Amino acid sequence: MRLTPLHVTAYTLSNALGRGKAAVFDSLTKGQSGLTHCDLESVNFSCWIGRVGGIEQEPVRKDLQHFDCRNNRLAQIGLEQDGFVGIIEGAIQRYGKARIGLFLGTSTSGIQETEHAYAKRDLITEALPSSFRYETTQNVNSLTDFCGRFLDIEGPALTISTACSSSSKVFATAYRFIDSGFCDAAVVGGVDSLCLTTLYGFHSLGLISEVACTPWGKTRTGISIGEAAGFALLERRAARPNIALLGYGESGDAYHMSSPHPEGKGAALAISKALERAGITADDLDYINLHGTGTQLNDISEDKALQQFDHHAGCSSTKGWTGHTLAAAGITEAAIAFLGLEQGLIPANINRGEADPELATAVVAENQWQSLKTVMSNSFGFGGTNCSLVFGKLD
Amino acid sequence: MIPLRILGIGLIGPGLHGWRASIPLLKNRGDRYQPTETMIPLPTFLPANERRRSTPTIKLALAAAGQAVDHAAIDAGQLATVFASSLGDMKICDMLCRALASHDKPVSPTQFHNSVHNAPAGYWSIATGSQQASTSLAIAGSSFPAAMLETALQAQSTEQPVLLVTYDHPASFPLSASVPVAIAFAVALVIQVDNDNPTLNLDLGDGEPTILDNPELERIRLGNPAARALPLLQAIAEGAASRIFIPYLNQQLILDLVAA
Repeated sequence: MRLTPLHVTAYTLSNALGRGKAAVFDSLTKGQSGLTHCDLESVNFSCWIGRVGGIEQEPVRKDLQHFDCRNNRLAQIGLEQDGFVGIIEGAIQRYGKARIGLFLGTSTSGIQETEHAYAKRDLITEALPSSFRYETTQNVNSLTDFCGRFLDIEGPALTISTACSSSSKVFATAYRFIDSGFCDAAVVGGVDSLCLTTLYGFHSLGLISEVACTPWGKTRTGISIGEAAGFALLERRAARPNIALLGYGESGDAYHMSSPHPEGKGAALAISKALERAGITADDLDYINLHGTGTQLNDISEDKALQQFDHHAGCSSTKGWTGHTLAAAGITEAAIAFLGLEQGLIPANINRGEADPELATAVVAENQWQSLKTVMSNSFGFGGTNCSLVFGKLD
Repeated sequence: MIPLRILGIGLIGPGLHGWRASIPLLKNRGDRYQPTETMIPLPTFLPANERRRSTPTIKLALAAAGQAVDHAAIDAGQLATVFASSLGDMKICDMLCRALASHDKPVSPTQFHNSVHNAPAGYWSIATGSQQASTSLAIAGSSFPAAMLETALQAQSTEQPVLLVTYDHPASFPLSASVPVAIAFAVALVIQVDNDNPTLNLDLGDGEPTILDNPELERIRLGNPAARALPLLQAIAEGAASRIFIPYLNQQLILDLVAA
């Protein structure tokens, strides 16, 4: 069934490209990738990361200090950009705090605190340091609890944790909650921060690239992990022309825990559901922000999925700019697509290097300036969880 | 308000071994209930490879899911799913953090893929072949009511039955000292929207949380976020019309049961 467009009345993003829309857009226009050689803690293999500078020096707000951890610090940095807090205050005036939902994605939340606590555990009793707080740091609810308090909103809330599709799926959940009247507006978003768990975890699977990741490239060897925060306000009505969620599609691969379906079966299903709900065909898309992680199998699988659709959209993975921001990838890449819609930009698929002849879908090698009306953002994750979103510019 | 019908129930908890066996224990205000160990049955429907790689948390979730689908006599391959756990997999978290705190940091790839919150959902989709939407969520002690609402909304938007699975498994030491869940518990429900003959109407509102008369059952309800479903299950077992309130953050999930 076709969706009633849900307005994206505000958004913000912070990642390795910068803090807030202007900084990210500036890096995009200058062609500056945010990836740097990994200098995190004790990482004993060579890789690149998309790091947000300064997190270590910026603890969370004093009254919320029991939530202090890298992930909530990044959340706070994210919320403080682009006047987002003031915009939410305005929404509270319009709707009341109990009528604004909060749907956020994270995969590792504040697990870095648990990593540190284990490193400092008592050698004899194994007890973790008494200062360790699990519920307000590592637990995946910590992010949503922290952001709800930071923004002072009290509507229905939940954290979605479906690996790399988490902060795409929040749009679908928010749509359903608003559409059925359980809230009038919703803050959606996602935050994932660098930690040893994901760096060593993906390394153990042989999925971390030694060089800065080369999505869609012939010589691609894996991902570069990035950290990011992104948020958007979704409302039924908007005061002026803006961007709206037109369609969403969710699916599963039902194939493998850590490898995508070789024919992109689940991805294609998510794409077709999103197009159907938007009431458009693939040919109506001007831009597709690919999941494009830069692993051998992901890019083949996504390419196979896209081949099932007749489209002429410019395509790019933006993970060469930000790194793979995991559970924050959905909101980060949706927000990059919003910048594209507003500014008329298809961001380049930077770092690709030599094109892979095995991939039929061409990607945009240089920033391409053109007016965009309808865009898609793809996010596919571990456990075979897929989400495709369609956004459009409304007049 | 969303009019619903429950098609199947799975239940695993201390002394609660499946829905049918639990009905007499939950009936009559639970006066025959005696707590014993939680026994997690082997999910035999899981392919051998996945079964070998799975953890107690994954087995707990999938066993309850399997019971609910069997009870509903429905094709699991067509079902969308909502998995809710406040903690995720604490055993995997313990193993990963131990490895990361050691010198060479020998993380196992299987442990890492098992660490994602949606690992049980992933195993379930592989076992059943379902390519339908699947959400894995958490919101601390409100994980069950949040999942119930998300499930009802999915069922409403697709006009298809949806499987809800809520589960939490305790941590071992040293994490157990910081993690407030001491017993393993899982509930699974197959739910569909039924505008004509609902057995359950769902809404959000205000009210006082429904508590359980049997002190042991009440202790379990409070001791595991998945067990917040117990007042609903007890009301279904009793079969009388009733109104259940389950705290969902600052509100109450209100479940109006129609008499059986």
